[in-house]
Amino acid sequence: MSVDSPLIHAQNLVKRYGDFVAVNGIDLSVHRGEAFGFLGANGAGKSTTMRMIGCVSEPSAGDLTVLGMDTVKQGAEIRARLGVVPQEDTLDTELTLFENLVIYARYFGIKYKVAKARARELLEFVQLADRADKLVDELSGGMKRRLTIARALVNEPDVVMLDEPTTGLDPQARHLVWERLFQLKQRGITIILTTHYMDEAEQLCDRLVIMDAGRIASEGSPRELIERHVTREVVELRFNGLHTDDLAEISAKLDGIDGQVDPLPDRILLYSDHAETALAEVRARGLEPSSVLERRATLEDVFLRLTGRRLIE
Amino acid sequence: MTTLTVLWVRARSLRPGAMMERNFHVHRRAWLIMLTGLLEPLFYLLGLGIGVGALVGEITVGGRSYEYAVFVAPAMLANAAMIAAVTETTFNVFGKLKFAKLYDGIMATPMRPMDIAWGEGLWALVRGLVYVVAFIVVTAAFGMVDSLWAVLAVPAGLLISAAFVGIGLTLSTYFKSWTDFDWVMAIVFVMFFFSGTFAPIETYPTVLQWLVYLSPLYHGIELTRGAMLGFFDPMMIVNAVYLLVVTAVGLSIASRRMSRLLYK
Amino acid sequence: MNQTINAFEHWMLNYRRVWPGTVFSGFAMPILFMVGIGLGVGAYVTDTSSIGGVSYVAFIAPGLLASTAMQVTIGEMTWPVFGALRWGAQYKAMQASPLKPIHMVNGHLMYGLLRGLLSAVVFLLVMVAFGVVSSAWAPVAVVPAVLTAFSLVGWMYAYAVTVNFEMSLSIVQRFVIVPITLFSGVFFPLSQLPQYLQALAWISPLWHGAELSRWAVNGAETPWFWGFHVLYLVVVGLIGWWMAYRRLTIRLTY
Repeated sequence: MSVDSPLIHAQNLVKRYGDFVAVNGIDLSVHRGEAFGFLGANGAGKSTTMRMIGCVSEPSAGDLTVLGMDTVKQGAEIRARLGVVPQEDTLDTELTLFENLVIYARYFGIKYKVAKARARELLEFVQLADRADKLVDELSGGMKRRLTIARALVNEPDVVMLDEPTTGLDPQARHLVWERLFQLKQRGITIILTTHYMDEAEQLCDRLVIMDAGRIASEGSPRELIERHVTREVVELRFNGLHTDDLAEISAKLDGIDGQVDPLPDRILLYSDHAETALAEVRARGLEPSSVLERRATLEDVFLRLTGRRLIE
Repeated sequence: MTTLTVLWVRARSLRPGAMMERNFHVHRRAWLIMLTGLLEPLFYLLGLGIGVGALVGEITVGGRSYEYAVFVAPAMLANAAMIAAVTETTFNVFGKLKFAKLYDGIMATPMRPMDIAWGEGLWALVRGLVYVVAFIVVTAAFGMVDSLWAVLAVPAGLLISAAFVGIGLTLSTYFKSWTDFDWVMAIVFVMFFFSGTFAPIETYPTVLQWLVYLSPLYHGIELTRGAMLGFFDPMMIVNAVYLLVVTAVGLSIASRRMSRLLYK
Repeated sequence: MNQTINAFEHWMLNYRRVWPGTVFSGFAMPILFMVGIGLGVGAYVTDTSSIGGVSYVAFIAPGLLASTAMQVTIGEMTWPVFGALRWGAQYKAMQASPLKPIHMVNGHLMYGLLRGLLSAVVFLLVMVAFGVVSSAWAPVAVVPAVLTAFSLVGWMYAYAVTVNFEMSLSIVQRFVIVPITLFSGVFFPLSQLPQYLQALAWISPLWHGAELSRWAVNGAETPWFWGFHVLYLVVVGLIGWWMAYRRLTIRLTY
């Protein structure tokens, strides 16, 4: 496999469960050293795609190669070089933290001595060394996540895959996880992650795809996606004491203004490349918002634009 | 080429080994529970074999008569081998499969469903082996073993464990909830009572006898009894083959089912 | 009293959901013992002088009656108690209600005893079907059966409330309950045991229960004055009940 051929390559990848199509013909490629993200609501097909890349789910159709190997025929060989942090913790509750790492290394066929040395190192890396001999049940959610990350690194993988690594964690725990992932990225390890936190995607990912209903809605770097799908700036207008219906009326009055208008139940969003001019225009039309917030557009705006505001559960 | 083959074989056999290693680490802390599995058949042997045996007197098998306790002991050994395999491959495997999601974690490594099934099965065999050997030592200490042929009860016990490993693993992959285990325990108990354990099955009605022939434990007891009482009957070949067939069928179904459950 | 009944009702409602799983332990298992041991092994028992001249199956039936009631009641006091405290939210929910620990204990233990009583009645009918009941006094045997259950119910509850690992439950089941069942004169008269083991068996509530039960069903005289047997079971049971209350209070306020 040549240096610049993609590490992961999918073409027209499909996964069906009975009549339900979880992944509906996606193409993607991930390159060495990249931090690649899947963004999407629950049920968009992120985890299913991750499972197929992780060789624990067979594609219903299409081609998928990881590290130049076929995921169906060479699953075990591929898995030997992946590190996986699943969405739900699958830690071994009957073992101590240290044993969890050592035994996991043994599943990879790593020698006992090497496994023990690595376990010690990794517990240090995720700041759990002082709890090495405790059972997993005694850990908090954030600690379990960190242990799972350590476990995913025990085979010194080429690719680390994380499925919603910080869902359900408190702010401190999230930041510690982010720090560690950033360190891995600096070491040149390829990272693939799914998330529905936009700030997480913006911080960690070089490139990402937004998935919606089993398809890829858009692909690019966080900056590119923002430029492609929304304006550079957003103005949030609030009108105290007014109802949702009134807001719709107001936004009708904003028709023809320089930028796109998006009425929400509690405020109006005004997408514009020049927030100042747009705001002046609003005032010129005799509207006096009770509060105004000018900000840079974020991935969240992109995401909501592309996938709509309906709840997918 | 040959070195490659050797490496390939080593890699294949190492994977179930890692599963066994995991179980060994867990049981280092739970050795007491392993001990209980051995003591229960011993209690039955003492209570029913010796206590009730005093009321029964002697029992005739294969033209020779034996003290009742000596007659019951091989059945208790077979029972211990069965219990080891069944608890390990049903309760423990089901818990790891459905609740702890342990195997889902292991599936992210080069281990395959088959390696997991084989590893769990081999571990159950090890537990069975420990029970069988310990049981023979204890009964010998009580003076209930008078033939060196009793050593053959070890392979016989392993065959019993193997058959119940196949059955247990298969059942675990079909189970939905813990209440399903009430029925496993029920069937295990019925087999325990009616596999020629406490009385020769010749006393049963013919229809019942045919039902008993289905019980793997019955075939196991025939083997352990032959070994420990030191007699040979050509039917014992049939008994052994029956257990082997159950093992093979059970393991192949279990491996396939395990793949279905873990590759989603 | 009302609150005790509330707690008791909770467990009765719960039972309506889980009863199919209990059919085996309460009904099928004693029949297996009757057929497998009573008839199967009984066929080889020719000299019945040491068991009072009755058939072997008639000898073990009254003891099995007491043993069944004890096992069913105790079974309710193991995993269900442990689980309701640790896995389920049942005790948490009760704690948030006006129920006090004493009501919770009373309600749960009474429920356990009721389950034992039910299985004793069922088993008595099985005995009639097996034709091993020779006295019109036989229904009275339900009393010592429930007393046997009563003597141990609190102890088991206290244990299940106290222990921290599920494993401890299997251990007591196999190290305590199985030996009690096998060495309490149910399957063979205690006179078969060496003297020191006989003395040990006197501690076992099941021995007292089985002897009382045999007295009612077969008219076999009890080894000691019947009042002593009854007194023993009641005293052991009351201490156990108090222990149950103590342990639960400690657990809930801890």
